[in-house]
Amino acid sequence: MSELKLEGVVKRYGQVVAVERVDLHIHEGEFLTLLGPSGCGKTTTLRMIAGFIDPTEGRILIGAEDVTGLPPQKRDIGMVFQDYALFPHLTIADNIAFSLVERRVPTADRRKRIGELLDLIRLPGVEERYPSELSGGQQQRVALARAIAHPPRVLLMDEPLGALDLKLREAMQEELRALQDKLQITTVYVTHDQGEAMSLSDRIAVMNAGRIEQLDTPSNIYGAPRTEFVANFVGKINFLRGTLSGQQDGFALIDTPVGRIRARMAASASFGSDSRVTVSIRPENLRVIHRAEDAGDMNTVAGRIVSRLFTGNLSHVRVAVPGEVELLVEMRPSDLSDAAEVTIGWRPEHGVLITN
Amino acid sequence: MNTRWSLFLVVPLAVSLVLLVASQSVFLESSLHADLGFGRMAPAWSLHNYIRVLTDDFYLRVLWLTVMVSGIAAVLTIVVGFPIAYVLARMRSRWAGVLMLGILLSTFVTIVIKIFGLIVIFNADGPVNRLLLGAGIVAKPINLIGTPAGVVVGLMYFTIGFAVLLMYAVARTVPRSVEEAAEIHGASRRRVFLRVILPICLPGIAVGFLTVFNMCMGAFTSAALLGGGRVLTLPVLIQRTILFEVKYGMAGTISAILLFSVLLINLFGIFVLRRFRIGRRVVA
Repeated sequence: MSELKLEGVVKRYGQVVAVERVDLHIHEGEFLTLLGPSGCGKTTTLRMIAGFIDPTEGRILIGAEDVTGLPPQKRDIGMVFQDYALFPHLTIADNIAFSLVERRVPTADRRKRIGELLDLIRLPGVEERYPSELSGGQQQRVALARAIAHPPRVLLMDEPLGALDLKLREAMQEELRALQDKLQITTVYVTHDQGEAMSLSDRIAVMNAGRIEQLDTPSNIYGAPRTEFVANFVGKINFLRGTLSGQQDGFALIDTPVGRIRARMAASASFGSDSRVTVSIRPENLRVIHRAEDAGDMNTVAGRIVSRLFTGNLSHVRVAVPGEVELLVEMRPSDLSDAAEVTIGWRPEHGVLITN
Repeated sequence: MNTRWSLFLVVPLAVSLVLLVASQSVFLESSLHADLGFGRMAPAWSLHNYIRVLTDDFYLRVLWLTVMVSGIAAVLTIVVGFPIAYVLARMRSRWAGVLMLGILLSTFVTIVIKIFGLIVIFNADGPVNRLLLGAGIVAKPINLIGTPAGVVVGLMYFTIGFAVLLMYAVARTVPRSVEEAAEIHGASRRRVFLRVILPICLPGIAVGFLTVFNMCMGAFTSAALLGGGRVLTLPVLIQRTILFEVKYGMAGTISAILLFSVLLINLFGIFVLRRFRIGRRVVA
């Protein structure tokens, strides 16, 4: 186990830039997720860490060692692939022991380690079976056991749950998180599934067009997105555009088409007055105000319901407000009357300022 | 209503029966008649020809030579063909398609033209010998034509295109990620080949070997032209028995021996193959 550093890593294919510039410092034992849409450079970044692709510029360090030019064999990394990539001609025991055989670990130690790992992934007794005899979830657990059999300095996971169905994916997420808590292996995880990233990671790097847009804890990525891309990619979001006109009681005052609203000032961000800004508000933070006295110090706006979508425990309601903006409101179905005209309100701290 | 598509298979079955079984039964029947000379055959059935072939050293040596030459040619063809197929299967540039097309086209050039090309290249005054002589590697020109080695080269030339196409399909079944998994978990390129690529491809390679071997066993043109009348394989012998000796019965018997030895070798091959397992899926 070691820390992992990417310093100014760039990957270009001719004119095409796959990874524009990535600087990352993943701490020892940390679980970091590269999150982004396909083509954002997350897989390329992971494959550069693995050594399957050489970076055009920059350095990759595991611990204190510069591994930039090193072939994958010499990097001491474990990896879990989306399609499991188990060896079809080898038994489960031989699959798990693959790296141990390559590193000439004695047979007795190998057998002991296989037993430990099968207990760890809760699949005891499948030693002599073949991958094709196991289900997808079981195969992926075996792939994980293979990746950590010879304790790797860094564990890489390339959309490992992508091929599983929803129920299994959720169960595997919990299992992965529990394993990570137990093993504390430095892990880089690649996914385009924001829910997965949220529930598994210590930190998330949201990537877009070959760059990291925001590197932060899951709660900050969700609650304090720094760019529109991040806000949009992670969960559902409403945007209100306007101009910053001042400050009051620690809140920013913004003039928008729905009137003057107050929003949270991000500690790190600095905005010149009168600059164009965007306020982001999560749909679950918007509510319907039934009586004016309920509003308190909330921002309020009157609007007209455009559509309602019942999703089970919650309803998604679209409300047209001035400025040709539609706000998405998430609420309990019981909170909604039949009235078409509603007043929407939200607490000032739930509006987050984003740089344009 | 479901169309019963399997019924359509009756047509190819009928064609196969007529072309394969019917035609073979003609020479199988003639193999049971002793020759009386001048193309006449004894009216009664007997095992005379079979006893002759299976006890005469000459015929047994021809059978052995045919199996050896075919076996060596098939092994070498696979050894040369598999790496080519593997590289093609892994190529991501558009040249892969061009190269594939080249192999495909050259495969369907008639063997007669290819063999004459070989004869020109390898004859005593040809470019290969001039190069070897000029470089001082050999003292006198090496002669491939009329030697078993020449026949092996001819058979390889005849089958390599098919072998590459067959092996290409086999190599494509190994996912890139499986190789990468082996690499990242500590295997060198050599070990990846020995522990992963080769074992996964082995059943396919074996099937390819049998296919190439069968083609070699029955190859007439390459053996006749490069053997130059001095290397006798079973197909060449059959032709001579019919054309020069006019012994239809004996020719039928030699054909039957060729047929049954190929059949036996293939059955043995399939038996061995069944013992390979990929997972618990039995191959072949």
